[in-house]
Amino acid sequence: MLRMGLLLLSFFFVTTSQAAVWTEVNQWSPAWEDRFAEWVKREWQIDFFARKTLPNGQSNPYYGLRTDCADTVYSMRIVFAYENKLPFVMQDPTASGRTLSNKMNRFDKYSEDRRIKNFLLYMYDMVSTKSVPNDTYPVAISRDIVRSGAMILTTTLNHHSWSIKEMLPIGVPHLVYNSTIGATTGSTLQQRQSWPNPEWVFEGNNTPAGNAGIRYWRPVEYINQPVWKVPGYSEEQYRVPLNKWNRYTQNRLALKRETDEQMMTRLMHVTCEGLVGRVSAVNDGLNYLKTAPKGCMSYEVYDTYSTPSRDQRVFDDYVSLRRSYRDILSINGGNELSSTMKAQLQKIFPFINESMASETRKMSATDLSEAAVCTTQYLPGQYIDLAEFKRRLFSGLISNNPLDDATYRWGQLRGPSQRAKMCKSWDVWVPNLNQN
Amino acid sequence: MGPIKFKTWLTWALVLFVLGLLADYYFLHMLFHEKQAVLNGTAGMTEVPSPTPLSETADPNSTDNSGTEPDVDTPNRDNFNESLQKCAPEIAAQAVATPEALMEYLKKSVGVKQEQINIENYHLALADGSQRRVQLISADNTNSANKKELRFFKLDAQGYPERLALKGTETVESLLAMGKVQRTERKSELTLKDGSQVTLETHDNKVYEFQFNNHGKILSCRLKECQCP
Repeated sequence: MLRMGLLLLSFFFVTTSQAAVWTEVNQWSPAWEDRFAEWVKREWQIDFFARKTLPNGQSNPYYGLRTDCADTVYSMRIVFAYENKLPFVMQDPTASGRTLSNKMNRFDKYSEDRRIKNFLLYMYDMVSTKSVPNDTYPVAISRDIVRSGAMILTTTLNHHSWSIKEMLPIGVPHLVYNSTIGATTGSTLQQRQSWPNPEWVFEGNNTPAGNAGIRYWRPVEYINQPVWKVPGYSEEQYRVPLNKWNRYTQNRLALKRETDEQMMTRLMHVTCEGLVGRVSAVNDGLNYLKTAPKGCMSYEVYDTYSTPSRDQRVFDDYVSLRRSYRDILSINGGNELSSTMKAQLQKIFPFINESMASETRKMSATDLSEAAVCTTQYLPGQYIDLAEFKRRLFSGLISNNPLDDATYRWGQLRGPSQRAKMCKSWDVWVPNLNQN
Repeated sequence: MGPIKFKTWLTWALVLFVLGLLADYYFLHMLFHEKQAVLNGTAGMTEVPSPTPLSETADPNSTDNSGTEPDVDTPNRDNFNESLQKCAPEIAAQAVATPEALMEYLKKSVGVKQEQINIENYHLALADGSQRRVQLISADNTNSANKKELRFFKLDAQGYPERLALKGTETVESLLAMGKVQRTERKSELTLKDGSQVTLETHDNKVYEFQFNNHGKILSCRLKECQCP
């Protein structure tokens, strides 16, 4: 009886105590920022939310969380703060001058594991790419600050963000990010090892006022302060012309030179991931078409199954690959490239010395020869490589319209299809060939 | 009847203590929280007394949100004129002496080519005294560059916003009609006809903070405290 009473008593105290999400024991400092960078480099994997168990065999407390791009960036900071009993404070996106922090006690009836998960879900309801500028600041292009734990943000126009998992020694970031546009986005994050297209990142406002570019977390005491007062605030990245931005930034951040062969291999890999990822995204749309009633789509359904942003990102990756290949040829004639690599690039860019528009006009259909790169099955029994997909994408054959069937989505026929012609379409993307 | 053993006394004392705590839990924790929830969460349908008025003097360095209203718009210093002179002498020469006058000058004399409002926050007071916030924000999870998302919040006992589900048929106007707007915050981007750009934050239609890119020279101000590097 006595034991039971004591048990009841202790249970009662546990359930009624007013608890923050976590109690901060430590305070942010340069040493903690270093540990944050080490943790991000080591732990911030694409399966961070998708693995059921941790490497030590314990269950993953973050398993199953689905994040969009901004959620992903904030999660990185929140989880580290939680696991190390550091404060997490951000500006309240609904009220200037106020903050949201780990001190909230709305989840005090839950166990600690449940509290952090609920706090993350709460934050996902609050944050967006529009809140990121309030909690971060633009940094100088230096490895001291452009490192694991930093992020890249686009202008409002393109509303996207990436977390920097690691700055590779070649001056290129390993980015971890996510996007929830699409029907079947899971908990697995996405990754790439390249700078995103600066013309897309800074589109519409290549100034500090656009808030785009590389940013880092503000110290707690600078939340709700003017951004230009944050120590380390720098406008350097906005002074670099966009057509030189990637090369300039990579050179500034590189510890060792990336060989031409390595660079081409890396950029081809990034482009290939775009092609491979498109297969499942298009299949989502095609599967929906099979079951959907005939007729047109609402905006929400159309937006879910269309792929203009995805197609533009793949296009941008091709442009980046092409631009880098041209630079190599102008600098050393490609004498560092292997004969295999030259053949592969020649297949993708057969008229590299001409403009993109001219090359697109002249390029003819290709088959899967020995020089094919990234051969991908896009429909049952049908394969495509980077060269043929590039030809179709650049010539406007690839359809991002979910009302089109597979032959149009993959550019075997030029759209729009009859159904697409009859219905309203939104945000249709077409390639811009007027850049070099 | 034999004497009551010490163990029995202790047991009954414990039981009574626990009952006392349970009563405390019921009245102070459960009922009180329910009252707070009613104050903040039932769209003003119930007649309840107003909550304690929120303090008007927030500590800008405090990270505890409870009981504080948004920032007191007091600048630390006023160096607007010298900063404007440095970043945009041609405009300073037009006797533009305040951020309000600068925005007026840019909008009317230079002209706005395009204005994009990225965030609008409305702080509402309902008839029952409870608080709501309405947020209209450029959406992230879409292919569209200009799709807006409407968000609606109540405030919890600590003053933290909590998102409320919407049916999908609401508009900004219909949500604002639920109460009285006490404060409006707006963040926008302006592209001017001469190619210069402004990012502007206003509170109750007054300039709070802006960055003006005058063809490469960046004038940044919060109220009248400015920087032109």
